[in-house]
Amino acid sequence: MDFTSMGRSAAAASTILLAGLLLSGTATAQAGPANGGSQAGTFEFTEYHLDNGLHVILAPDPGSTAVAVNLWYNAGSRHEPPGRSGFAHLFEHLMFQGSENVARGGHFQYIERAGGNLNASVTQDRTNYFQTVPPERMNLALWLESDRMRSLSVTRENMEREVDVVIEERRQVVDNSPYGTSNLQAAFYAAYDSASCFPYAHSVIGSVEDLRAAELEDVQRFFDIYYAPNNATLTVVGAFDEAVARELIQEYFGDIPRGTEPTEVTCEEPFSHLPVEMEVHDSNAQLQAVWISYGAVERRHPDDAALSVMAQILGSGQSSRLHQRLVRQEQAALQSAALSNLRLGPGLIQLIGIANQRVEAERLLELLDEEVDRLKAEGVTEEELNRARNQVRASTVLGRQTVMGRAEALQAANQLYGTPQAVHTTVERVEAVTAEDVQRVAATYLTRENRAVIFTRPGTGQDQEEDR
Amino acid sequence: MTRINRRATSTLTALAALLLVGVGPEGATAQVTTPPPPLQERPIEFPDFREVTLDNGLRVVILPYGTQPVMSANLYLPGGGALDPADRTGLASLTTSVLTRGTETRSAEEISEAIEGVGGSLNASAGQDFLTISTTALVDHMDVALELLQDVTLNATFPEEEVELARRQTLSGLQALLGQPQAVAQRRFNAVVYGEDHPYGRAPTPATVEAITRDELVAFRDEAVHAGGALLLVAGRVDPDGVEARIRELFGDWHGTERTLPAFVSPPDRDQARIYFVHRPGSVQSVFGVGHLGVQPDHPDYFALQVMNRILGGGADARLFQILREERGWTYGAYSQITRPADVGVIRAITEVRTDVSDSTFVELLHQFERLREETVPAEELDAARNYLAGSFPLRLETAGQVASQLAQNLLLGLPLEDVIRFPERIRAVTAEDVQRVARTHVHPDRAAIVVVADAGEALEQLEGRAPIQFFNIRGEPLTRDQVVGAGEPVAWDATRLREGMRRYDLYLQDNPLGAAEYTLTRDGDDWVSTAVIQSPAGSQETELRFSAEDFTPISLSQDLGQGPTAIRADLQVEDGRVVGEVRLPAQLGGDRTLDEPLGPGVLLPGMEELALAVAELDEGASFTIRIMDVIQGGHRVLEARVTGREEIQVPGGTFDTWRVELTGGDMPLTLYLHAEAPHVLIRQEFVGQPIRLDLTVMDPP
Repeated sequence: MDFTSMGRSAAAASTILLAGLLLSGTATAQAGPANGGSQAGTFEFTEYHLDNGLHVILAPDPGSTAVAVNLWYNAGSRHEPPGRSGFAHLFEHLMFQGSENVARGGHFQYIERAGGNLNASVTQDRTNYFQTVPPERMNLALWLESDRMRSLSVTRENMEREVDVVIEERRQVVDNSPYGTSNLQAAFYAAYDSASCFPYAHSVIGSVEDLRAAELEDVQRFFDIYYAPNNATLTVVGAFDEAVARELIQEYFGDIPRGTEPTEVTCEEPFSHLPVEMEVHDSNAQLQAVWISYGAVERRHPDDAALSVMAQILGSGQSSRLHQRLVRQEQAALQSAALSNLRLGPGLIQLIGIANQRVEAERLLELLDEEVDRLKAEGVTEEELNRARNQVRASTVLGRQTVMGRAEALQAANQLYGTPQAVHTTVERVEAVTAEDVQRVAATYLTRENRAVIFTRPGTGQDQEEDR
Repeated sequence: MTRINRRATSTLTALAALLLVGVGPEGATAQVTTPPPPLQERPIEFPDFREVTLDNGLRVVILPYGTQPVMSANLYLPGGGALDPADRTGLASLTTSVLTRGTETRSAEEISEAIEGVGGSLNASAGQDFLTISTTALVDHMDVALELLQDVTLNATFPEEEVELARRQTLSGLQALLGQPQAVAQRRFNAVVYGEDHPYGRAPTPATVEAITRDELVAFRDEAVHAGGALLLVAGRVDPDGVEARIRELFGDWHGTERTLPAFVSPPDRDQARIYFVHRPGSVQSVFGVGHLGVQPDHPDYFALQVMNRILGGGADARLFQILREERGWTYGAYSQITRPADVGVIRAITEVRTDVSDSTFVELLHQFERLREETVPAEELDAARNYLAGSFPLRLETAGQVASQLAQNLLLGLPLEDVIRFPERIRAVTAEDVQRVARTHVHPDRAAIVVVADAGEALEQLEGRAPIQFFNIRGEPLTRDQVVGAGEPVAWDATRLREGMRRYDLYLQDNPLGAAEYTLTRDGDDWVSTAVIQSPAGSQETELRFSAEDFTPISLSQDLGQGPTAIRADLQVEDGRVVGEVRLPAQLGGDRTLDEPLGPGVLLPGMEELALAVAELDEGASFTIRIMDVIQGGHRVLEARVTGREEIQVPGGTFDTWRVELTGGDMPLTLYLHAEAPHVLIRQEFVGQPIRLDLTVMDPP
């Protein structure tokens, strides 16, 4: 996932560590595009394609103090075949191992020495590489990205060391971390049918075994297929002159040859194996927890906005239904959350509760089910709808204060909705959602038959035996 | 090197370019092969702000800034968690938790519905030195946000049920924190560096949180929440006149005199480097926090220390990250930090590594501290650090919130605002000599506190002998070494590696034959049966052990040791995970007893240690813990076996290539010489400090 450190917070908010969202108490889906409708959060941009297929989106803003250079490759963990889980993410690490004109580690040295910061991350859907730099160093960031899109240099030794680093990353965020394993079960393994939908049924971070099995030839193949200009979108946002940016982009990226069009993965009947119920013994966890993942739809599905509003009303903020019921009224949970975790392929609606001391996870499940049943039976109020709309509008605007926030919003809109113009319609989409829509999607998706339930038990299974 | 070059796959393009340009392949395209020089700089100004002080002493700073229609208001009140009495640690934090949960005119629900209804947020929290009450909203809803901020600041009522709910949440939160190794490491680090008499060295515990009463919360609020000395910072795309007028309306009548804060006690002096080992069973990494006290916030060396920190571990382009991750691949990240609270801060390196490099990490971290003192920083590295710190200045001016928090820190610590505005100049003035000088003054690896959170079974052996070690559990309670070592994960022994056979030994006292022993191991259906008969002047000893050939689980033990008043007899069966049976003991050991107690996971019966070692993975430096039931005291003892060398030894039964293994934790320490090939048959046994040994005479099959 994240490459450097600066982004400890970015790591926490990434898709494989939903706990990060939990801790911050927000319940909006990941980097879902959102926008301020009529005026708030909107901004100007232009888009075009180079001859080699590179999609370019430019959003100059003279009022900024920095420039974001942000590159998304349409390459995610969904493209990994069985036996190679974690490869897209390992590859992201390898992209920092040097290219034709840049030494190993040189990318971040150049950027940091210019006063910039950078990172990269991988989800099921995409890999992003991003840097924020002082305005006069926009050209450096563009050149560095072009050099590694053109050519990549990887030795076996470098690859093996990066495998070690990624395994430590996995230990840090999963194996040595409370709820790490439960999270992977809820987001991937238990939620999706591995037989019919391997692309989404395995984790982004991958298994240690698969990581160790990676070969140098896999690197070449992955690069050839996915790291071509016609499989990438470049956004530049901030304090720059558009003509200068166009010229530089043409100069650096223009002669990189087009690649063959990658074939898209398929994922049929991802939820046919549901319902599933399982226990995870977690020696890092101190409190019981329950994770419910309901099978849902892709972002472009017409129910997208209604599902987001539903999650908002259920789980966002102290006035949300789950917080009011589980945390305040019943005092059963330390934290609760509802996430609309939709993406390019089939997504999930997740309800999560971390129990207070001396509360069983089954009690949380009971309470969550009661709230879901109430939602289906009674629907939502106009006041709740308004609150959800305002929350979406505010979080949209807040997220677009930085050049990187705007760059990511453009990219997400482009990939998930098929056009960057979708940044302008986030609020409209949410405002069109009615109380009936919310009640209908709750009845459609939040059923007992359509879910994976994971109970987290603190301690190892053995200790529990001893206690009894 | 594998060069994955996109041009290589596009022969036509390359060929065309070659024909057109007529030069070699490297120059065949218009490709730019060196990093471009900087574009023209855009002048960046630190934004203007307005500073006013109301008659009641409230300092107000208004920062009209930002491209998006958002605003934030942060109210800072001097005196945070550092003022908690030692037996009420967590008081400030609990006070702020309840502050937003009920006022004279609003319930907790009404407050959250009001602010969240407009998509905003309202929070109160307690840092070490300040309480913070803050709100964020779209500028359209600024009135709602500011009015709520005022209401909770002036009119909080601390409803009893909200106090209890917040207490319960806090207690669960403390419990959850124990699962996070980095948080555990930080708490231990603060406790040892500041000492428990200094408020920064303390942290809330369930006991201190339970003890806090509602009246104490109200009293704390009454003392802390005053206009005098408070700072209100409003930032965003706001009209400064309108904001000032509104602030005067809302906070003009707020009363209160400035609070006199007590002086901090001095943290303890450190005399030497010490390891503080926090045992976390099952940990798959070793989490390190290494460092010591730093400087006061107004110390003139602050900027040079920032540059030094950047060189040491302030990012990816810094020594710790480059060495521990990029060169060695030990970790996902390694960093250093210099904190700047109201009293003295700390200088600290942090990383999480795989457990088998705990020793190397220890050495490397301290070496990098030492290097800062010993070497002058090369010009290139110094430039890299200064360029990052100074060059990233515009990136910290992106949002109103970023600018506001920089202003707030200096205003609250009483530091010049010029230091914020002129930050790049201050950084660029730092020289290599400055960095070395401040390192020599403020960095002390010989006195560092080395906090390690790890599973002792994996990491402890690597650290022992490097510095004095104190042990703790994750709650911070001190432990003895035995408690820690005894708490390791049980080892799974592979019974399938054993082989049937018979062995005879001679027993020597100072090279004189004293007796003999015969050991047998035979397969009986699904079980292994092991017998030992030892004849010596002390009498004969006989043992018969039965255990599962599948997974080493003990099944029974029959033992008959010695004669007369010191004789010990045991007849034990393992049934459903419990050990039941009779033990006859000498009077001084408690006399006869009937045993019926659980056999813990991985615990073996007495006499099985030799069999466990026979199947262990012996290698240079390897160590194992073997849990042996204590039939005399009850419970189990943890034996530690450590491979300390490889030796060829000669005994009456022949010459053998052996591993030397030190076995401690039993009645007396033993040195065992085990056949280098598995199963590792005992070739010689010595009793450390005693002139007694056991040597192999016959082995069948050989």
